[in-house]
Amino acid sequence: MKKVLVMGGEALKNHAKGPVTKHVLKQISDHPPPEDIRTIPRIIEDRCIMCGTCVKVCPSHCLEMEKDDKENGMIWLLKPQCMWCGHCQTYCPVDAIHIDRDPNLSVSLFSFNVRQDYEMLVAKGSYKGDVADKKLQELIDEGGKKIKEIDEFRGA
Amino acid sequence: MTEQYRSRFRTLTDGSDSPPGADHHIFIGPQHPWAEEPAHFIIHLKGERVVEADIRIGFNLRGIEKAMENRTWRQNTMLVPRACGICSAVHQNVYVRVVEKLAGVEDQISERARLIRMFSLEAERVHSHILWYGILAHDAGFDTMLHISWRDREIIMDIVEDFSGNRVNPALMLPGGVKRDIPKDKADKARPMLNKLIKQVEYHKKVFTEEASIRNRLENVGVLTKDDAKITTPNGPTGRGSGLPFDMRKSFPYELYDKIDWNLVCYNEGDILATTLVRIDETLESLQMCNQILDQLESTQGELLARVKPRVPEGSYMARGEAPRGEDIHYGIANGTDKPERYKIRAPSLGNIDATLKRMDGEYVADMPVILRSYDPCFSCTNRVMLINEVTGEKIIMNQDEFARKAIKAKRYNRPFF
Repeated sequence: MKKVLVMGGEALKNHAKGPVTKHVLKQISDHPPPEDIRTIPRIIEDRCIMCGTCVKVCPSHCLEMEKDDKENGMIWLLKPQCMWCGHCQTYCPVDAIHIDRDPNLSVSLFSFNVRQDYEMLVAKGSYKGDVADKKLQELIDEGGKKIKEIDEFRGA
Repeated sequence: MTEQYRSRFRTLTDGSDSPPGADHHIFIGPQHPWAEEPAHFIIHLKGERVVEADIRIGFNLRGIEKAMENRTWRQNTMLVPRACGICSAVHQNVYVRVVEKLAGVEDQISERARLIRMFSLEAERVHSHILWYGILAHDAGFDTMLHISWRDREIIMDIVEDFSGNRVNPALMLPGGVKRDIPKDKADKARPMLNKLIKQVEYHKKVFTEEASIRNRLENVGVLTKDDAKITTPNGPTGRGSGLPFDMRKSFPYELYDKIDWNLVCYNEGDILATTLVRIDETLESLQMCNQILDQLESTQGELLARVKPRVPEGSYMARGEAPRGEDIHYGIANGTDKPERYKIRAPSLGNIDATLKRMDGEYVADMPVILRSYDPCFSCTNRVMLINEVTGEKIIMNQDEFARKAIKAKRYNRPFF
Protein backbone atom coordinates (compact mmCIF):
# COMPACT_ATOMS: atom_id res chain seq x y z
CA MET A 1 0.00 0.00 0.00
CA LYS A 2 1.53 3.28 -1.08
CA LYS A 3 1.11 6.44 0.94
CA VAL A 4 2.57 9.90 0.82
CA LEU A 5 4.30 11.85 3.60
CA VAL A 6 4.99 8.80 5.75
CA MET A 7 7.87 10.69 7.32
CA GLY A 8 5.86 13.83 8.06
CA GLY A 9 5.60 13.13 11.80
CA GLU A 10 9.34 12.47 12.03
CA ALA A 11 10.07 15.70 10.17
CA LEU A 12 7.93 17.77 12.56
CA LYS A 13 9.53 16.09 15.58
CA ASN A 14 13.03 16.79 14.30
CA HIS A 15 12.13 20.37 13.52
CA ALA A 16 11.16 20.92 17.13
CA LYS A 17 14.28 19.16 18.46
CA GLY A 18 16.89 21.12 16.53
CA PRO A 19 20.11 19.75 15.04
CA VAL A 20 21.43 16.43 16.38
CA THR A 21 25.02 17.60 15.95
CA LYS A 22 24.58 20.48 18.37
CA HIS A 23 27.24 19.18 20.76
CA VAL A 24 29.90 19.02 18.04
CA LEU A 25 29.79 22.78 17.66
CA LYS A 26 31.28 23.19 21.14
CA GLN A 27 35.02 23.09 21.78
CA ILE A 28 36.74 19.79 21.05
CA SER A 29 38.54 19.77 24.37
CA ASP A 30 35.17 19.73 26.16
CA HIS A 31 34.56 16.25 24.79
CA PRO A 32 37.12 13.75 26.02
CA PRO A 33 37.34 10.51 24.04
CA PRO A 34 35.39 7.52 25.42
CA GLU A 35 36.80 5.34 28.19
CA ASP A 36 38.17 2.35 26.31
CA ILE A 37 39.23 3.97 23.05
CA ARG A 38 42.42 2.56 21.53
CA THR A 39 45.16 5.18 21.26
CA ILE A 40 48.95 5.29 21.05
CA PRO A 41 50.82 2.93 23.40
CA ARG A 42 52.29 4.06 26.67
CA ILE A 43 54.70 1.85 28.65
CA ILE A 44 54.93 1.52 32.41
CA GLU A 45 58.66 1.92 32.94
CA ASP A 46 59.00 -0.22 36.09
CA ARG A 47 57.41 -3.25 34.48
CA CYS A 48 59.17 -3.21 31.10
CA ILE A 49 61.83 -5.91 30.75
CA MET A 50 63.16 -4.79 27.33
CA CYS A 51 62.26 -8.08 25.64
CA GLY A 52 61.37 -6.43 22.33
CA THR A 53 58.13 -8.33 21.70
CA CYS A 54 56.21 -5.12 21.00
CA VAL A 55 58.79 -4.10 18.39
CA LYS A 56 58.49 -7.48 16.65
CA VAL A 57 54.70 -7.67 16.51
CA CYS A 58 54.05 -4.04 15.51
CA PRO A 59 52.35 -4.18 12.07
CA SER A 60 53.34 -0.67 11.02
CA HIS A 61 56.95 -0.78 12.27
CA CYS A 62 56.45 2.34 14.34
CA LEU A 63 58.18 1.07 17.48
CA GLU A 64 61.96 1.01 17.50
CA MET A 65 64.42 -0.18 20.09
CA GLU A 66 68.08 0.10 20.96
CA LYS A 67 69.73 -1.84 23.78
CA ASP A 68 73.10 -3.21 24.88
CA ASP A 69 73.88 -6.67 26.22
CA LYS A 70 73.13 -5.60 29.82
CA GLU A 71 69.43 -4.99 29.00
CA ASN A 72 69.95 -1.24 29.14
CA GLY A 73 68.30 0.65 26.32
CA MET A 74 65.29 2.60 25.14
CA ILE A 75 62.14 2.14 23.06
CA TRP A 76 60.75 5.03 21.04
CA LEU A 77 57.66 5.52 18.91
CA LEU A 78 57.21 7.14 15.53
CA LYS A 79 53.89 8.80 16.26
CA PRO A 80 52.38 9.43 12.80
CA GLN A 81 53.06 5.83 11.75
CA CYS A 82 51.12 4.29 14.64
CA MET A 83 47.63 3.09 13.72
CA TRP A 84 46.45 2.49 17.30
CA CYS A 85 45.84 -1.22 16.79
CA GLY A 86 46.92 -2.38 20.24
CA HIS A 87 48.96 -5.38 19.15
CA CYS A 88 51.78 -4.35 21.50
CA GLN A 89 49.39 -4.38 24.44
CA THR A 90 47.99 -7.81 23.56
CA TYR A 91 51.32 -9.56 23.13
CA CYS A 92 53.24 -7.87 25.98
CA PRO A 93 54.27 -10.72 28.31
CA VAL A 94 54.35 -8.56 31.47
CA ASP A 95 51.35 -6.25 30.86
CA ALA A 96 53.57 -3.19 30.73
CA ILE A 97 51.76 -1.41 27.86
CA HIS A 98 48.40 0.28 28.01
CA ILE A 99 46.67 1.92 25.07
CA ASP A 100 43.46 3.16 26.69
CA ARG A 101 42.36 6.74 26.99
CA ASP A 102 44.96 9.44 26.93
CA PRO A 103 43.32 12.55 28.45
CA ASN A 104 45.30 14.92 26.24
CA LEU A 105 44.58 12.98 23.05
CA SER A 106 42.12 15.36 21.43
CA VAL A 107 44.36 18.34 22.18
CA SER A 108 47.57 16.68 20.97
CA LEU A 109 45.93 15.48 17.75
CA PHE A 110 45.06 18.98 16.68
CA SER A 111 48.36 20.59 17.65
CA PHE A 112 50.41 18.30 15.48
CA ASN A 113 53.89 19.22 14.34
CA VAL A 114 57.26 17.76 13.36
CA ARG A 115 58.81 18.16 16.79
CA GLN A 116 56.31 15.76 18.27
CA ASP A 117 56.85 13.00 15.71
CA TYR A 118 59.12 10.95 17.93
CA GLU A 119 58.08 10.11 21.42
CA MET A 120 60.18 8.29 23.99
CA LEU A 121 58.24 5.46 25.57
CA VAL A 122 60.76 3.94 27.95
CA ALA A 123 64.48 4.34 28.78
CA LYS A 124 66.43 2.03 31.02
CA GLY A 125 69.84 1.92 32.67
CA SER A 126 72.56 3.91 30.95
CA TYR A 127 70.04 5.37 28.47
CA LYS A 128 68.28 7.43 31.11
CA GLY A 129 68.42 11.18 31.47
CA ASP A 130 70.61 13.24 29.16
CA VAL A 131 71.69 10.30 26.99
CA ALA A 132 68.09 9.41 26.18
CA ASP A 133 67.22 13.05 25.46
CA LYS A 134 70.24 13.35 23.18
CA LYS A 135 69.30 10.20 21.26
CA LEU A 136 65.75 11.44 20.85
CA GLN A 137 67.00 14.82 19.66
CA GLU A 138 69.13 13.04 17.03
CA LEU A 139 66.08 11.17 15.79
CA ILE A 140 64.01 14.34 15.67
CA ASP A 141 66.71 16.16 13.68
CA GLU A 142 67.00 13.24 11.27
CA GLY A 143 63.24 13.13 10.79
CA GLY A 144 63.12 16.90 10.35
CA LYS A 145 65.77 16.70 7.62
CA LYS A 146 63.76 14.06 5.78
CA ILE A 147 60.59 16.12 5.95
CA LYS A 148 62.53 19.18 4.73
CA GLU A 149 63.82 17.18 1.77
CA ILE A 150 60.32 16.03 0.91
CA ASP A 151 59.05 19.60 1.11
CA GLU A 152 61.84 20.80 -1.18
CA PHE A 153 61.06 18.00 -3.61
CA ARG A 154 57.43 19.10 -3.68
CA GLY A 155 58.53 22.67 -4.28
CA ALA A 156 57.18 24.09 -1.04
CA MET B 1 29.99 -21.48 -21.42
CA THR B 2 26.33 -20.99 -22.21
CA GLU B 3 25.05 -18.98 -25.12
CA GLN B 4 23.77 -16.20 -22.88
CA TYR B 5 27.31 -15.46 -21.81
CA ARG B 6 28.98 -12.57 -23.58
CA SER B 7 32.11 -10.68 -22.98
CA ARG B 8 31.49 -7.47 -21.05
CA PHE B 9 34.93 -6.12 -21.82
CA ARG B 10 34.52 -4.44 -25.18
CA THR B 11 37.06 -1.88 -26.30
CA LEU B 12 35.37 1.31 -27.38
CA THR B 13 37.81 3.59 -29.17
CA ASP B 14 35.91 4.84 -32.22
CA GLY B 15 32.51 3.30 -31.55
CA SER B 16 33.11 0.47 -34.00
CA ASP B 17 32.98 -2.14 -31.29
CA SER B 18 29.74 -0.89 -29.75
CA PRO B 19 26.75 -3.24 -29.55
CA PRO B 20 24.32 -3.12 -32.51
CA GLY B 21 21.53 -0.59 -32.21
CA ALA B 22 23.19 1.69 -29.68
CA ASP B 23 23.26 5.35 -30.63
CA HIS B 24 24.69 6.98 -27.49
CA HIS B 25 27.43 5.99 -25.06
CA ILE B 26 27.66 7.32 -21.52
CA PHE B 27 30.91 7.04 -19.59
CA ILE B 28 30.74 7.01 -15.81
CA GLY B 29 33.86 7.09 -13.69
CA PRO B 30 36.51 6.27 -12.59
CA GLN B 31 36.07 9.65 -10.92
CA HIS B 32 32.44 10.67 -10.78
CA PRO B 33 30.27 12.44 -8.20
CA TRP B 34 28.01 9.41 -8.03
CA ALA B 35 30.70 6.89 -7.23
CA GLU B 36 32.71 6.84 -4.05
CA GLU B 37 34.66 3.94 -5.51
CA PRO B 38 36.86 3.95 -8.61
CA ALA B 39 35.16 2.00 -11.40
CA HIS B 40 34.55 2.82 -15.02
CA PHE B 41 31.10 2.11 -16.48
CA ILE B 42 30.25 2.37 -20.16
CA ILE B 43 26.51 2.46 -20.80
CA HIS B 44 25.33 1.99 -24.39
CA LEU B 45 21.94 3.59 -25.03
CA LYS B 46 19.25 3.54 -27.67
CA GLY B 47 17.14 6.57 -26.95
CA GLU B 48 16.57 6.45 -23.22
CA ARG B 49 16.85 2.69 -22.87
CA VAL B 50 20.03 0.81 -22.05
CA VAL B 51 21.17 -1.69 -24.67
CA GLU B 52 24.17 -2.96 -22.79
CA ALA B 53 26.54 -1.88 -20.06
CA ASP B 54 30.23 -2.59 -19.58
CA ILE B 55 32.49 -2.20 -16.60
CA ARG B 56 36.22 -1.74 -16.18
CA ILE B 57 37.76 -2.20 -12.76
CA GLY B 58 41.36 -2.14 -11.65
CA PHE B 59 41.99 1.52 -10.86
CA ASN B 60 42.89 1.01 -7.25
CA LEU B 61 45.07 -2.04 -6.85
CA ARG B 62 46.75 -1.47 -3.51
CA GLY B 63 48.86 -4.61 -3.35
CA ILE B 64 47.69 -5.83 0.05
CA GLU B 65 48.37 -9.45 -0.89
CA LYS B 66 51.97 -8.64 -1.81
CA ALA B 67 52.42 -6.61 1.36
CA MET B 68 51.21 -9.58 3.37
CA GLU B 69 54.07 -11.73 2.10
CA ASN B 70 56.56 -9.34 3.72
CA ARG B 71 54.92 -9.36 7.14
CA THR B 72 54.53 -12.00 9.80
CA TRP B 73 51.23 -13.81 10.39
CA ARG B 74 50.77 -11.81 13.59
CA GLN B 75 51.31 -8.46 11.89
CA ASN B 76 48.98 -9.42 9.04
CA THR B 77 46.10 -9.68 11.51
CA MET B 78 46.00 -5.89 11.44
CA LEU B 79 46.65 -5.53 7.70
CA VAL B 80 43.86 -7.84 6.49
CA PRO B 81 40.91 -5.77 7.81
CA ARG B 82 42.25 -2.86 5.72
CA ALA B 83 41.25 -4.78 2.60
CA CYS B 84 37.80 -3.23 2.95
CA GLY B 85 36.65 -0.06 4.67
CA ILE B 86 33.27 -1.25 5.90
CA CYS B 87 33.44 -5.05 6.13
CA SER B 88 36.73 -5.15 8.02
CA ALA B 89 35.73 -7.60 10.76
CA VAL B 90 34.66 -10.35 8.36
CA HIS B 91 37.99 -10.19 6.49
CA GLN B 92 39.77 -10.50 9.82
CA ASN B 93 37.53 -13.34 10.91
CA VAL B 94 38.16 -15.39 7.79
CA TYR B 95 41.91 -14.71 7.99
CA VAL B 96 42.00 -15.74 11.61
CA ARG B 97 40.22 -18.99 10.81
CA VAL B 98 42.77 -19.73 8.08
CA VAL B 99 45.65 -19.23 10.52
CA GLU B 100 44.01 -21.29 13.24
CA LYS B 101 43.41 -24.20 10.90
CA LEU B 102 46.99 -24.05 9.61
CA ALA B 103 48.40 -23.86 13.13
CA GLY B 104 46.06 -26.64 14.27
CA VAL B 105 44.49 -24.80 17.19
CA GLU B 106 40.92 -24.46 15.96
CA ASP B 107 39.64 -26.81 18.71
CA GLN B 108 41.17 -24.70 21.47
CA ILE B 109 39.12 -21.57 20.81
CA SER B 110 36.72 -21.08 23.68
CA GLU B 111 32.99 -20.61 23.23
CA ARG B 112 33.15 -17.16 24.79
CA ALA B 113 35.74 -15.98 22.28
CA ARG B 114 33.61 -17.31 19.43
CA LEU B 115 30.52 -15.50 20.76
CA ILE B 116 32.42 -12.19 20.96
CA ARG B 117 33.62 -12.69 17.40
CA MET B 118 30.05 -13.31 16.27
CA PHE B 119 28.86 -10.16 17.99
CA SER B 120 31.48 -8.18 16.12
CA LEU B 121 30.45 -9.75 12.81
CA GLU B 122 26.72 -9.14 13.31
CA ALA B 123 27.22 -5.56 14.51
CA GLU B 124 29.21 -4.96 11.36
CA ARG B 125 26.44 -6.40 9.20
CA VAL B 126 23.96 -4.07 10.91
CA HIS B 127 25.94 -0.90 10.31
CA SER B 128 26.94 -1.90 6.79
CA HIS B 129 23.33 -2.55 5.75
CA ILE B 130 22.02 0.66 7.33
CA LEU B 131 24.77 2.59 5.57
CA TRP B 132 23.87 0.95 2.29
CA TYR B 133 20.15 1.67 2.26
CA GLY B 134 20.86 5.21 3.37
CA ILE B 135 23.03 5.75 0.31
CA LEU B 136 20.48 3.97 -1.89
CA ALA B 137 17.81 6.43 -0.75
CA HIS B 138 20.24 9.26 -1.46
CA ASP B 139 20.82 7.96 -5.00
CA ALA B 140 17.07 7.71 -5.51
CA GLY B 141 16.74 11.36 -4.51
CA PHE B 142 15.23 10.73 -1.06
CA ASP B 143 17.79 12.45 1.15
CA THR B 144 15.58 12.53 4.25
CA MET B 145 15.99 8.77 4.55
CA LEU B 146 19.78 9.12 4.26
CA HIS B 147 19.91 11.47 7.23
CA ILE B 148 17.44 9.50 9.35
CA SER B 149 19.10 6.12 8.75
CA TRP B 150 22.63 7.41 9.30
CA ARG B 151 21.53 9.12 12.51
CA ASP B 152 20.22 5.78 13.79
CA ARG B 153 23.37 4.00 12.60
CA GLU B 154 25.29 5.96 15.25
CA ILE B 155 23.62 3.78 17.91
CA ILE B 156 25.37 0.62 16.73
CA MET B 157 28.58 2.53 16.08
CA ASP B 158 28.58 3.66 19.71
CA ILE B 159 28.13 0.07 20.86
CA VAL B 160 30.99 -1.14 18.66
CA GLU B 161 33.21 1.67 19.92
CA ASP B 162 32.36 0.83 23.52
CA PHE B 163 33.21 -2.86 23.03
CA SER B 164 36.28 -2.60 20.85
CA GLY B 165 37.73 0.90 21.17
CA ASN B 166 37.19 1.81 17.53
CA ARG B 167 34.15 2.76 15.48
CA VAL B 168 34.46 1.15 12.06
CA ASN B 169 37.43 -1.18 12.39
CA PRO B 170 36.83 -3.12 15.62
CA ALA B 171 39.83 -5.46 15.06
CA LEU B 172 38.79 -7.64 17.99
CA MET B 173 40.03 -10.93 16.57
CA LEU B 174 43.40 -12.60 16.82
CA PRO B 175 44.58 -16.07 15.88
CA GLY B 176 43.56 -18.00 18.99
CA GLY B 177 40.73 -15.86 20.24
CA VAL B 178 39.81 -12.23 20.81
CA LYS B 179 41.59 -9.19 22.22
CA ARG B 180 38.96 -7.80 24.52
CA ASP B 181 36.21 -9.14 26.70
CA ILE B 182 32.62 -7.87 26.79
CA PRO B 183 32.00 -7.40 30.52
CA LYS B 184 28.53 -7.54 32.03
CA ASP B 185 28.13 -3.82 32.68
CA LYS B 186 28.89 -2.98 29.06
CA ALA B 187 26.42 -5.63 27.83
CA ASP B 188 23.73 -4.20 30.09
CA LYS B 189 24.42 -0.74 28.69
CA ALA B 190 24.16 -2.03 25.11
CA ARG B 191 20.86 -3.94 25.42
CA PRO B 192 18.45 -0.96 25.57
CA MET B 193 20.39 0.67 22.72
CA LEU B 194 19.91 -2.44 20.56
CA ASN B 195 16.17 -2.50 21.33
CA LYS B 196 15.92 1.16 20.37
CA LEU B 197 17.69 0.43 17.09
CA ILE B 198 15.29 -2.45 16.35
CA LYS B 199 12.37 -0.02 16.63
CA GLN B 200 14.13 2.46 14.35
CA VAL B 201 14.92 -0.17 11.69
CA GLU B 202 11.28 -1.31 11.75
CA TYR B 203 10.38 2.31 11.08
CA HIS B 204 12.86 2.37 8.16
CA LYS B 205 11.17 -0.72 6.75
CA LYS B 206 7.80 0.97 7.03
CA VAL B 207 9.13 3.97 5.10
CA PHE B 208 10.64 1.83 2.34
CA THR B 209 7.48 -0.25 1.87
CA GLU B 210 4.84 2.49 2.25
CA GLU B 211 6.27 5.83 1.14
CA ALA B 212 5.26 6.31 -2.49
CA SER B 213 8.16 8.53 -3.54
CA ILE B 214 10.84 5.93 -2.71
CA ARG B 215 8.80 2.86 -3.60
CA ASN B 216 8.10 4.09 -7.13
CA ARG B 217 11.85 4.44 -7.71
CA LEU B 218 12.63 0.90 -6.53
CA GLU B 219 9.70 -1.32 -7.42
CA ASN B 220 9.96 -3.27 -10.72
CA VAL B 221 13.26 -1.56 -11.50
CA GLY B 222 16.26 -3.62 -12.54
CA VAL B 223 14.57 -6.99 -12.24
CA LEU B 224 16.95 -9.93 -12.04
CA THR B 225 14.85 -13.07 -12.46
CA LYS B 226 15.75 -16.35 -10.83
CA ASP B 227 16.86 -17.87 -14.14
CA ASP B 228 19.14 -14.91 -14.87
CA ALA B 229 20.47 -15.11 -11.34
CA LYS B 230 21.39 -18.76 -11.82
CA ILE B 231 23.44 -17.86 -14.91
CA THR B 232 25.18 -14.79 -13.50
CA THR B 233 25.66 -16.29 -9.99
CA PRO B 234 25.32 -13.33 -7.64
CA ASN B 235 26.09 -13.98 -3.99
CA GLY B 236 24.95 -12.44 -0.75
CA PRO B 237 21.87 -10.19 -0.52
CA THR B 238 21.86 -9.67 -4.30
CA GLY B 239 21.26 -13.38 -4.83
CA ARG B 240 18.85 -13.66 -1.92
CA GLY B 241 16.70 -10.91 -3.44
CA SER B 242 16.35 -13.01 -6.59
CA GLY B 243 15.30 -16.23 -4.92
CA LEU B 244 18.67 -17.91 -4.38
CA PRO B 245 18.51 -18.88 -0.69
CA PHE B 246 22.25 -19.16 -0.22
CA ASP B 247 23.95 -17.90 2.91
CA MET B 248 27.36 -19.04 4.09
CA ARG B 249 26.21 -18.92 7.70
CA LYS B 250 23.44 -21.45 6.99
CA SER B 251 25.07 -23.55 4.27
CA PHE B 252 28.51 -24.00 5.85
CA PRO B 253 28.16 -22.80 9.46
CA TYR B 254 31.30 -21.39 11.02
CA GLU B 255 31.90 -20.03 14.53
CA LEU B 256 28.64 -20.80 16.40
CA TYR B 257 26.06 -19.85 13.78
CA ASP B 258 24.46 -23.29 14.00
CA LYS B 259 23.76 -22.84 17.73
CA ILE B 260 21.79 -19.60 17.43
CA ASP B 261 18.19 -19.12 16.28
CA TRP B 262 17.91 -17.09 13.14
CA ASN B 263 16.04 -17.19 9.85
CA LEU B 264 17.35 -16.98 6.33
CA VAL B 265 15.86 -13.97 4.52
CA CYS B 266 14.94 -14.57 0.89
CA TYR B 267 12.72 -12.68 -1.55
CA ASN B 268 11.69 -13.89 -5.01
CA GLU B 269 10.79 -10.61 -6.78
CA GLY B 270 14.32 -9.79 -7.92
CA ASP B 271 13.87 -6.02 -8.22
CA ILE B 272 15.77 -3.39 -6.26
CA LEU B 273 13.03 -3.18 -3.64
CA ALA B 274 13.44 -6.90 -2.90
CA THR B 275 17.21 -6.44 -2.48
CA THR B 276 16.55 -3.54 -0.12
CA LEU B 277 14.02 -5.50 1.93
CA VAL B 278 16.44 -8.45 2.17
CA ARG B 279 18.98 -6.14 3.72
CA ILE B 280 16.50 -4.48 6.11
CA ASP B 281 15.16 -7.85 7.27
CA GLU B 282 18.71 -9.10 7.71
CA THR B 283 19.47 -6.06 9.84
CA LEU B 284 16.56 -6.94 12.12
CA GLU B 285 17.68 -10.58 12.16
CA SER B 286 21.24 -9.56 13.07
CA LEU B 287 20.06 -7.25 15.85
CA GLN B 288 18.01 -10.11 17.27
CA MET B 289 21.13 -12.29 17.10
CA CYS B 290 23.16 -9.60 18.90
CA ASN B 291 20.65 -9.70 21.78
CA GLN B 292 20.87 -13.51 21.89
CA ILE B 293 24.68 -13.41 21.94
CA LEU B 294 24.70 -10.95 24.85
CA ASP B 295 22.33 -13.27 26.75
CA GLN B 296 24.52 -16.30 26.06
CA LEU B 297 27.69 -14.45 27.08
CA GLU B 298 26.39 -14.20 30.66
CA SER B 299 26.43 -17.95 31.17
CA THR B 300 29.55 -18.76 29.11
CA GLN B 301 33.02 -18.73 30.58
CA GLY B 302 36.37 -19.49 29.06
CA GLU B 303 39.84 -18.30 28.13
CA LEU B 304 39.80 -15.42 25.68
CA LEU B 305 43.11 -16.09 23.96
CA ALA B 306 44.68 -19.49 23.24
CA ARG B 307 48.40 -19.57 22.56
CA VAL B 308 49.37 -19.70 18.88
CA LYS B 309 53.03 -19.99 17.98
CA PRO B 310 54.40 -17.33 15.62
CA ARG B 311 55.71 -19.97 13.20
CA VAL B 312 52.92 -21.62 11.21
CA PRO B 313 53.60 -25.15 9.92
CA GLU B 314 53.55 -25.91 6.19
CA GLY B 315 50.21 -26.29 4.46
CA SER B 316 47.39 -24.46 2.76
CA TYR B 317 43.76 -23.80 3.66
CA MET B 318 40.77 -21.98 2.23
CA ALA B 319 38.13 -20.42 4.48
CA ARG B 320 34.87 -18.71 3.58
CA GLY B 321 32.59 -16.31 5.39
CA GLU B 322 29.42 -14.34 4.81
CA ALA B 323 30.33 -10.68 4.46
CA PRO B 324 27.56 -8.05 4.40
CA ARG B 325 27.99 -7.95 0.59
CA GLY B 326 28.26 -11.67 -0.07
CA GLU B 327 30.72 -14.50 0.06
CA ASP B 328 34.26 -13.72 1.15
CA ILE B 329 36.97 -16.27 0.31
CA HIS B 330 40.52 -16.37 1.67
CA TYR B 331 43.23 -18.81 0.68
CA GLY B 332 46.55 -18.96 2.49
CA ILE B 333 49.72 -20.95 1.89
CA ALA B 334 52.18 -21.36 4.75
CA ASN B 335 55.77 -22.46 4.28
CA GLY B 336 56.82 -23.19 7.84
CA THR B 337 58.25 -19.75 8.64
CA ASP B 338 56.47 -16.91 10.39
CA LYS B 339 55.49 -15.29 7.10
CA PRO B 340 52.92 -16.49 4.53
CA GLU B 341 54.17 -17.87 1.23
CA ARG B 342 51.14 -16.56 -0.65
CA TYR B 343 47.78 -15.18 0.40
CA LYS B 344 44.74 -14.67 -1.80
CA ILE B 345 41.62 -12.65 -1.03
CA ARG B 346 38.46 -12.83 -3.12
CA ALA B 347 36.15 -10.03 -2.05
CA PRO B 348 32.35 -10.41 -2.50
CA SER B 349 31.69 -7.49 -4.88
CA LEU B 350 33.48 -9.28 -7.72
CA GLY B 351 30.84 -12.01 -7.84
CA ASN B 352 27.99 -9.51 -8.12
CA ILE B 353 29.25 -7.38 -11.03
CA ASP B 354 27.92 -9.60 -13.81
CA ALA B 355 24.47 -9.87 -12.23
CA THR B 356 24.25 -6.11 -11.88
CA LEU B 357 25.21 -5.54 -15.52
CA LYS B 358 22.51 -8.04 -16.49
CA ARG B 359 20.04 -5.98 -14.45
CA MET B 360 20.62 -2.89 -16.57
CA ASP B 361 19.50 -4.38 -19.89
CA GLY B 362 16.41 -2.56 -21.13
CA GLU B 363 16.15 -0.14 -18.21
CA TYR B 364 15.85 3.64 -18.34
CA VAL B 365 19.04 5.64 -18.01
CA ALA B 366 17.50 7.53 -15.07
CA ASP B 367 17.45 4.32 -13.04
CA MET B 368 21.18 3.70 -13.49
CA PRO B 369 22.36 5.20 -10.15
CA VAL B 370 19.97 3.01 -8.19
CA ILE B 371 20.87 -0.16 -10.11
CA LEU B 372 24.60 0.48 -9.90
CA ARG B 373 24.25 0.97 -6.16
CA SER B 374 22.14 -2.15 -5.71
CA TYR B 375 24.95 -4.58 -5.01
CA ASP B 376 26.89 -2.33 -2.63
CA PRO B 377 29.95 -1.82 -4.83
CA CYS B 378 33.27 -2.03 -3.06
CA PHE B 379 35.96 -2.02 -5.72
CA SER B 380 38.99 -1.13 -3.68
CA CYS B 381 38.73 -4.51 -2.02
CA THR B 382 37.76 -6.23 -5.27
CA ASN B 383 40.64 -5.23 -7.50
CA ARG B 384 42.79 -8.32 -7.49
CA VAL B 385 43.31 -9.72 -11.00
CA MET B 386 45.35 -8.01 -13.69
CA LEU B 387 47.58 -9.80 -16.17
CA ILE B 388 50.28 -7.50 -17.51
CA ASN B 389 53.11 -8.59 -19.78
CA GLU B 390 56.15 -6.88 -18.34
CA VAL B 391 58.05 -6.77 -21.64
CA THR B 392 55.40 -5.37 -23.95
CA GLY B 393 53.11 -3.72 -21.41
CA GLU B 394 50.19 -5.66 -22.87
CA LYS B 395 47.17 -6.12 -20.62
CA ILE B 396 45.09 -9.27 -20.90
CA ILE B 397 41.75 -10.04 -19.34
CA MET B 398 40.67 -13.66 -19.73
CA ASN B 399 37.71 -15.72 -18.75
CA GLN B 400 38.13 -18.62 -16.42
CA ASP B 401 38.40 -21.35 -19.08
CA GLU B 402 41.10 -19.58 -21.08
CA PHE B 403 43.00 -18.81 -17.94
CA ALA B 404 42.89 -22.40 -16.70
CA ARG B 405 43.80 -23.85 -20.10
CA LYS B 406 46.73 -21.51 -20.51
CA ALA B 407 47.97 -22.15 -16.99
CA ILE B 408 47.80 -25.94 -17.43
CA LYS B 409 49.67 -25.74 -20.74
CA ALA B 410 52.33 -23.52 -19.29
CA LYS B 411 52.82 -25.92 -16.43
CA ARG B 412 52.80 -29.09 -18.55
CA TYR B 413 55.08 -27.98 -21.37
CA ASN B 414 57.18 -25.71 -19.20
CA ARG B 415 56.30 -22.69 -21.33
CA PRO B 416 56.04 -19.02 -20.35
CA PHE B 417 52.50 -18.02 -19.45
CA PHE B 418 52.10 -15.24 -22.01
